[in-house]
Amino acid sequence: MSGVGEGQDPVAAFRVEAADLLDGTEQALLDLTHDLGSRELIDTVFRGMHTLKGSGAMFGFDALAAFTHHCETAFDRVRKGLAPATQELVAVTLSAMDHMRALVEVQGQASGAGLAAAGIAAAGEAILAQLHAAIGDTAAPPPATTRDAATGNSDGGDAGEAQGGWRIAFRLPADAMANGTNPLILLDELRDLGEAEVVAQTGAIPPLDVLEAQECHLGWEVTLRGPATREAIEDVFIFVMDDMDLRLEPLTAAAPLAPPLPAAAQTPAETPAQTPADRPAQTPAQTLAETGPARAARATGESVRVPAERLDVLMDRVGELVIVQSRLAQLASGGINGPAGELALRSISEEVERLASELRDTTMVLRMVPIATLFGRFRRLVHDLARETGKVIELVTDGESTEIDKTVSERLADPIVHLIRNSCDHGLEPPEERVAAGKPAGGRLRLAAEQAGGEVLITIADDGRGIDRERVRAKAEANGLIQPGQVLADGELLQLIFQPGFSTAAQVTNLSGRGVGMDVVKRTIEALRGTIDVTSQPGRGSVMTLRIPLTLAIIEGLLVRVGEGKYVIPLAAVEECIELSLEDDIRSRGRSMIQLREQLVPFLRLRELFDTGTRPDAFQKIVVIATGGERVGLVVDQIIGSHQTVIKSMSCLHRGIPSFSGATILGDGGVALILDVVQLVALGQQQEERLRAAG
Amino acid sequence: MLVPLGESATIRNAETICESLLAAFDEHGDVELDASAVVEADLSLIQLVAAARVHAARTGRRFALCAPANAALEALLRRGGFLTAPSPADRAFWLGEEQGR
Repeated sequence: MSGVGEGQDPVAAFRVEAADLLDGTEQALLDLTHDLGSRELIDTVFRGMHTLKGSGAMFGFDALAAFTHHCETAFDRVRKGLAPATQELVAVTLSAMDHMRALVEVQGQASGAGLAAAGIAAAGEAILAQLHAAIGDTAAPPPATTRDAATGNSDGGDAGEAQGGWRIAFRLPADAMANGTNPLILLDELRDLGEAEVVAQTGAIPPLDVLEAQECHLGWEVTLRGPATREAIEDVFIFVMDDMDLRLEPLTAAAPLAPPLPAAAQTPAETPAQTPADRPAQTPAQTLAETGPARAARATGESVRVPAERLDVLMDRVGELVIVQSRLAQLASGGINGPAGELALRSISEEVERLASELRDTTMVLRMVPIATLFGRFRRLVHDLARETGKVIELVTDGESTEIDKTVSERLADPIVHLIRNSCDHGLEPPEERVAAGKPAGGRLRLAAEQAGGEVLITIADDGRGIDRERVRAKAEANGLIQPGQVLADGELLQLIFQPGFSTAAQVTNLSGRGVGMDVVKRTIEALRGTIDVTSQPGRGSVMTLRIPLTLAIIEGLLVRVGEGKYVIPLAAVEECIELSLEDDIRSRGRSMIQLREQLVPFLRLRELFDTGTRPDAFQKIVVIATGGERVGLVVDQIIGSHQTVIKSMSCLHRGIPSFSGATILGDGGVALILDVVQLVALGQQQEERLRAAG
Repeated sequence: MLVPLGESATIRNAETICESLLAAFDEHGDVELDASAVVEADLSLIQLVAAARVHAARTGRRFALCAPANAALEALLRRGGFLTAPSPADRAFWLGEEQGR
């Protein structure tokens, strides 16, 4: 019995679910800032909180559930018209969302005492105090009282209230438990509403041999005493209401017992005749789909949602592959006899080639996610930045359906955050300065994505003051990056902002840091084999353009040989290849520098770095690679040629080895390691610095 | 035959438990369920056990717990409303109490 569920970590699955819920609710909150009266948005926020609370309690995230309960109650009051939706409420709820994220993260890493020690509990209490102040509920009443107070004034009609209480009979949809609804939580919520007597109904449970173990055949009768309204009770079942049986009767002293509900499934008397085969065909399949693979995928830390039709295409290709494989097996067992056999083999070979190519394309598409998921995160960032800086900032997004590799999307988040922070902090002016310059008081930040061939273009544009070229020049001269008065093209001058340690902010704020960052942004983008360009017009704003390859799975590489091993250098980083003559090799011993168009470029002898133990070839080559404006030469024995490289990640044993970013399998079955350009360039620069220091 | 449960008996492994119980009924007739190690359980287990009781009654087999419900199971039964107004048979089955007259 221990086999089931192994490898599925429900806590990890909940974390993924909670992150989605929090993101969705946060988007609704951000929308609410523009439309405080929107009933739909208020309901969305309430439902998000309600689900998070319920799921959190189900998975043992009690601190999260308890905290979220207060936010849910606050929005319950808002949707019932007992408290207004205000900017203050949205702001404090956004802080509460951050706190919930922290609670999701911390749960399981520390005990309750640890939480308190970490100050998280105290932070939560401070937020709750603000929350209650924001809805004019300074007493912070306990859950049941809150709900009663909230419901006491709701509709006021006879149908909505029963002073004595209610007799509640309910039966959940058959798939409720499989879909994650925990009936125990619903019962607890009913108990929150008043004094409740809960009696389970087991009469509809079929015999074991016809039971679908994940279906729910249980029913309950609850006698609830107290002033709870019908609406408050119905709210408990808000997410299963459509498919469930629920009967509510006001409780009076003489009220007879509510007649039992008809069983949602078959009664025991009917069950022997019904076999599993008689059941609706979709039920087991649905259950499997919703609880098996789907949950397993969510349980892993790295998960990706794939539209079902893409999986269908993949299955079609796999089906074809299986057919071809059986043709091949048939041919192999019968022997390849004569021209007919050879023809059949060639046909199979062509078929496999076609399928391999289609499978590669299909599988690649599985990893693609819309960039909207990435852009969504930045709405909150811009909202917070606007509050911090006191500026009015409008975020406009475009091309959100553009798709990009999931890994690329994740690795782009930090650089884009930095670029947005820079735009908001340095680029956009305060309202009074904008008005004085004849601009609208509100600044505009545009985030756009579009696909162009094998690349995605992401632009971050602001309509701020633009980059101050004089200040860039002064700073670069002061830092010794350029000579005083050195003539530079405009593009070259702007590229200086990507130099390490460069910052033009006269006033350092906590937004844009201390001048570290833009060089890191550039390096991160280049590690993704992308590029970053900047254009800027004084007084009209700046545009940062990132060009990112669609996927990291396949690259164009330069295949080289060092000793007896073959290696791939990403072609995008290769600037040129030159010959290292024997004389130059001997002359540069101990110095390892070559003169390249009046510039000294350090180089690394890969043969020595990799300790191949072989003698150098007579005609070695230097492959000059560059990243971030820094160059280094790599001495190789032979350049074999360009190579379409399918990147395989290194095993966990080899993953930490610097100098290699992955591996690929060559046509002859051999393995070639892929060189990590960023690491090697850094290594070359370090070597140069050591040599300089040594004089 | 004794069918032991592990620490966890929830909807995630309900199908496996169901299959084990059915196999035990088919092969050995009478079945005892050892739920003493259960730490984490949900209503799917209670439902499975109830279904096994129905199955045993219909097929003339014996089905019982080898020991009264442990603390985790009893808490679950109470929270789910199974012990609010239990029949004597339910009390006897879950709590090992002798059936009243």
